[in-house]
Amino acid sequence: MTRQPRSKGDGFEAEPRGDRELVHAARAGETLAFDNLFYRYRDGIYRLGMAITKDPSAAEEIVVDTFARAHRAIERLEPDDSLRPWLYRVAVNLSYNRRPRKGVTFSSLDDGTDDIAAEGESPSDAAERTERRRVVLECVDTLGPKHKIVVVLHYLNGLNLAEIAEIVEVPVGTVKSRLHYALRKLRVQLSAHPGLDFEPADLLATTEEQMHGQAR
Amino acid sequence: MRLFGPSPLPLEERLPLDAALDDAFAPLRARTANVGPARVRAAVRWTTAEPRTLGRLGLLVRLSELSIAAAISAFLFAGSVASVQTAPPVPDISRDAVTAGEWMLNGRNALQRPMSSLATDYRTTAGLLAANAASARRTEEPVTPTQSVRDSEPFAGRP
Repeated sequence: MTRQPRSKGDGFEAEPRGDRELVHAARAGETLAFDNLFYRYRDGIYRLGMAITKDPSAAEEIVVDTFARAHRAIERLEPDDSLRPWLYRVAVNLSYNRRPRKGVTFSSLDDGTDDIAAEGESPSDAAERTERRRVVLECVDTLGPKHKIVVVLHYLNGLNLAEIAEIVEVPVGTVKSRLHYALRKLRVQLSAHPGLDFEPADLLATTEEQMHGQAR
Repeated sequence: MRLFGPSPLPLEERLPLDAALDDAFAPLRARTANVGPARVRAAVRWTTAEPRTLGRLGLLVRLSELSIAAAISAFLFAGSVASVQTAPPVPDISRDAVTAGEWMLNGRNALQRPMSSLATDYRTTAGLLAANAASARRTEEPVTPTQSVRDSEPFAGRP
């Protein structure tokens, strides 16, 4: 097993290598390369698991299980395949296997830090912002799994439509359609809350019609 | 006119939605996982632990263990089978006293041979009883009757 000298602490290198080089190095037994891959995608997978399971310990287990699978499958991965969609695909599957059952509720996703008023912000503004976030996340939770995962991957993990299509293994057009209907439904739900600045539009009827049409 | 697919959200509706979703996910986006790669390696080691391949000596030891275990099992099995085969048939005397041969239960629920009044030699039985009584008596000291003579008694020694 070969180890490359560390240029910095915490296992980060001066010139970050791409996924392909790191995968090749990890196949050759370089522990540091696998650690770099881990630190590169750890937080994104953790947030994805948190958004779906709403349980920090379950999200950490999802991170560990995802990379354990990657460690076992690294010999079988094609060199030209990108590691990121593969990792996220595994994490999505693991997250939906561990999502909370009906009736089991965890506390809010935030740990209370966003309740603190930012600099130049009044406590009432901070409370209003926290309430707005809570309402939006509740509306996201009401989406179906196919729509919700697209919203989470796009707005939380910052993935583009092509990457999401690779993760959920559907065409890009399907991802685009799912994102569109998810946003329309969110728009309708958020406009029902008077505290939010969403104008009640006449989207409700058209959205419902289109969604029923798609279901048919 | 769009014939296929949904009509896109107008920009003035899309932008507030994007901003609201970005803001709602901001606290979650700031969170970091508190796990390290060592935990992954431990999980990999734990799940892929396979039994070691047996060497020649290990194979020999395993075979000898198996043969000893098989021998003990065979011995126990043979012993249990033999004990079952050699067990004497116990007649159910209480239910079928006629077919039980010469033994039967008496009134005190004890086994005894049936007594035939024609074949019984009462004299022999009486003789056996007398012999038993004599042998029991022989074990004791022979008692010789002695007649004590009291001098003080008047008319002692008179016929």
